[in-house]
Amino acid sequence: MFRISPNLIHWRHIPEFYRFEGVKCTKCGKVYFPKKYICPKCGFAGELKPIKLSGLGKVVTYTTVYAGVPQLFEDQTPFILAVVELEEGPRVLSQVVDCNEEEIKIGLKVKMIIRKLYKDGDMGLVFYGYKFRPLYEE
Amino acid sequence: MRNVAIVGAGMTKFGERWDKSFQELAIEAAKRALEDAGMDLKEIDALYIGNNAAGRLIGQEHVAGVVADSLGVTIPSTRIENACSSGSVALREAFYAIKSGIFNKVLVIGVEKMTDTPRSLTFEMLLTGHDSLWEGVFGFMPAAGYALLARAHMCKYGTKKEHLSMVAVKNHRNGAKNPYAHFQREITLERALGAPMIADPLNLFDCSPISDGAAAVILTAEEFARKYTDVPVYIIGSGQSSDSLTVHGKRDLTTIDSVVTSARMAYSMAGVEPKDIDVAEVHDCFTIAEIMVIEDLGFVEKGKGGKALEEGITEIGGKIPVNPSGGLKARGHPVGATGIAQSIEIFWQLRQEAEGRQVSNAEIGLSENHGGIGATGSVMIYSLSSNPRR
Amino acid sequence: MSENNKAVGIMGYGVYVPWRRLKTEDLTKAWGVQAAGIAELSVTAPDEDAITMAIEASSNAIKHAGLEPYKVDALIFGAELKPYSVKPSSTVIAEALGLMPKSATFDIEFSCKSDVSALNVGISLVKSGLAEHCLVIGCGVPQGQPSDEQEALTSAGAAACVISEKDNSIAYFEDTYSNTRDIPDMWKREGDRYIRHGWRYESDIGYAEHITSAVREFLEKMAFKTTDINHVIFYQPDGRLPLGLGKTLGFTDNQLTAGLIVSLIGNVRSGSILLGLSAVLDKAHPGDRILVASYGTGGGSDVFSLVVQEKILERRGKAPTFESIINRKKYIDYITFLKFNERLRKGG
Repeated sequence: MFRISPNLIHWRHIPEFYRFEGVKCTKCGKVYFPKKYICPKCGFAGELKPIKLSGLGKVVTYTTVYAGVPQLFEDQTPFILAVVELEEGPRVLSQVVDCNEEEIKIGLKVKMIIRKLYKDGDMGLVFYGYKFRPLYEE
Repeated sequence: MRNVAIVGAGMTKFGERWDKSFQELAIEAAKRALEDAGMDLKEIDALYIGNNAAGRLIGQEHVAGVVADSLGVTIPSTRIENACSSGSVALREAFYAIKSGIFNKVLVIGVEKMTDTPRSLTFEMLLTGHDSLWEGVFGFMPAAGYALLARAHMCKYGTKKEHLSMVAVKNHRNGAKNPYAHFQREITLERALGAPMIADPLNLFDCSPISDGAAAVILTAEEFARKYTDVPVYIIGSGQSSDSLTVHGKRDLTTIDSVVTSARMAYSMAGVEPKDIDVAEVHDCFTIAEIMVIEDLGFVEKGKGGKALEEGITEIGGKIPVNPSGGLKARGHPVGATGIAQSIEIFWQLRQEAEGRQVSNAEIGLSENHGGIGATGSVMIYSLSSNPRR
Repeated sequence: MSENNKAVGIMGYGVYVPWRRLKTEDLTKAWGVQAAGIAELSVTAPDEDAITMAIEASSNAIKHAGLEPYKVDALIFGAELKPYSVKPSSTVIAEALGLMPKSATFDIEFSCKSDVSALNVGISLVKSGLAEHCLVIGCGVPQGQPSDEQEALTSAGAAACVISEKDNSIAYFEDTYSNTRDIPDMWKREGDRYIRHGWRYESDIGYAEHITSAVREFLEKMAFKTTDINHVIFYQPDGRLPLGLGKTLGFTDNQLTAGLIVSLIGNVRSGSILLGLSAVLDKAHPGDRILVASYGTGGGSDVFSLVVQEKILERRGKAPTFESIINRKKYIDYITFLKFNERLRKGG
């Protein structure tokens, strides 16, 4: 995936990667992230409108990755990957950063932040997107 | 619709095959299968090839063209790609082609050459079987995906790290008796538990290796089967299903839904139930997968996969032997070849040809092959009888 | 600033300091360098850079100001070291905050006073009516070569503020004074990996001379005495020089304390003044006068004064304070620091 130029592939999804924008079906009310083009439940009968998500959620499962990653991610290891269930319902996968080993657990409350995803692919661009950190305020 | 039988099979040894190219591996497997069936290449009506990533691994697309060209044939040639389940889905395509009457005799080859590429690029390729945009960009890779499921399974059902390592130990013990396996030596539980961590809780010995290899089977319509073998093995059931490409899109993190669905389809077509299966080959790309799959196939209750290892249910002498070949863990995992290698093991088991690791009185067998952590699921059921309704 | 232009001020502000810290004693052990008055440095993780820090600080500033992102119609990003030499970082920040598409964004650089130069321009945009709410961001990243003194002094962080009219503001700007001269004290050519600098002359002919003369000119222009100032924020190249400067100019150590953030996290260079100002605003009282005196190597100085208004009390607590952010931290060792900042790589 990093051997072809992903510039425009990533760019089209900036509303999701930078601003955490999903969609909500006007018919059944279900929220989807990343955005879908038709509602899986309602088909074309439902209309999907953009909705900005709060970025808050909780960890459903996680793992600490030590090895076996593509070269582009080698300097990030070890890092924590988690499936996070967002307040609004959808689940996403991303890294949990700035988190002590003792802190990570199923049920940990997290908040979305923007970080570098990777850089120095063939085209030399830097790609930004969402990761999570433990929610310690409020 | 008519019945379909496997009449011959052949495979290369799986492993780091510096000595053989992609084409040479495919040809070797095909040659062995044809010899096994006593069939001439000219008799084959069509070629089906299961291959995951020749484009990325050896810079060669049009795999169907490459293999047909290598074999010097002009018959229809089709390549199927469903990530790790490419082999089984190719077999299913061939199965339906014969069943529907389009072809009579088909050669199915699964082949993958993974070691001509630097390891880091192979890792990049492996993650393209998953969602490169919504998972890959975060550093996701297959071991991490299964590790996420493993933790969920351990949390919900109390599955332990020891259960995972027991899968590796069992499969190495079986693989040690398989002359085609990538790894042919046993390992101790201590060694398996203490291996370097990859994606916690999965360590190096929870992961299947990167292997080269090819495997081939010859399918014919029932009416031609006895011309080539006294013991044809019939494919009596086949199911295939699709599901979320992402881990986070799965309905339940402890179940591979596409395995459940494709198993149900296969059992229904075959007219059998889980308890009727005498031997199974399942997709243990990571040890946790074997634990989840034996539950999802209905061999044990959901959540009891770990306990099955404790009780020895899935040993060769147990109630439902699983992965007598050594599975992906020991036999190896040249991605496109795995699904075919699984069917070959069942073929040999049913014909009493699996020396050293023979399951006694095996009459009905099952192979399960999935890709993208269940984005594709494929289950095949085999029998010595074309109609075994028990 | 002439009497005719409208008065403007800071509507809200926010900061971001990375989680990790390197103790300067590890650098002393490794190289023998001393970091005067600095015990630890804030350090970015491999997935952080000037843009990611700016986004977080700005997000806090907009929240503090109680504004909808789309109301921000200008953004000025002041930073020395940015991810690209050609490609504006301000556009990425604007997209991430949701300002697009109707906004004017700028990338500004004046070495370690990029944040204050950005502030200068931001104030002008709002005063002239060209922007209603201008987001000004300052950001710095570690810059020093291994074994060099600068490695033990420079650190990472970002701060942002929204400039708006006086009535909306928690503090308003009174006036400003700037001086400029071409000085070879610190520099970096394209292709250089690390910032380069001269030797002892830099703090004399650069830092000390320019801030001293700028502050004296400003105080005279405004007819202020040093006792009219409640808080002073100087540019802080280390923990010692600003105190010496304060004495020269006649300020007491007490007037400098609230703004002396360098002793807590190191010198964030092109984000340091806005960070110091934020730390002071966290504690300031209505009616306080704050003096800001920046220095940018290369070089020049800007001086501003602000007066705090009652509104600061109702906005307090709407975004995390500087202290609450820096209190959450984790120490890393020197090898990890080198890997994180790409001084050490696999394969050399």
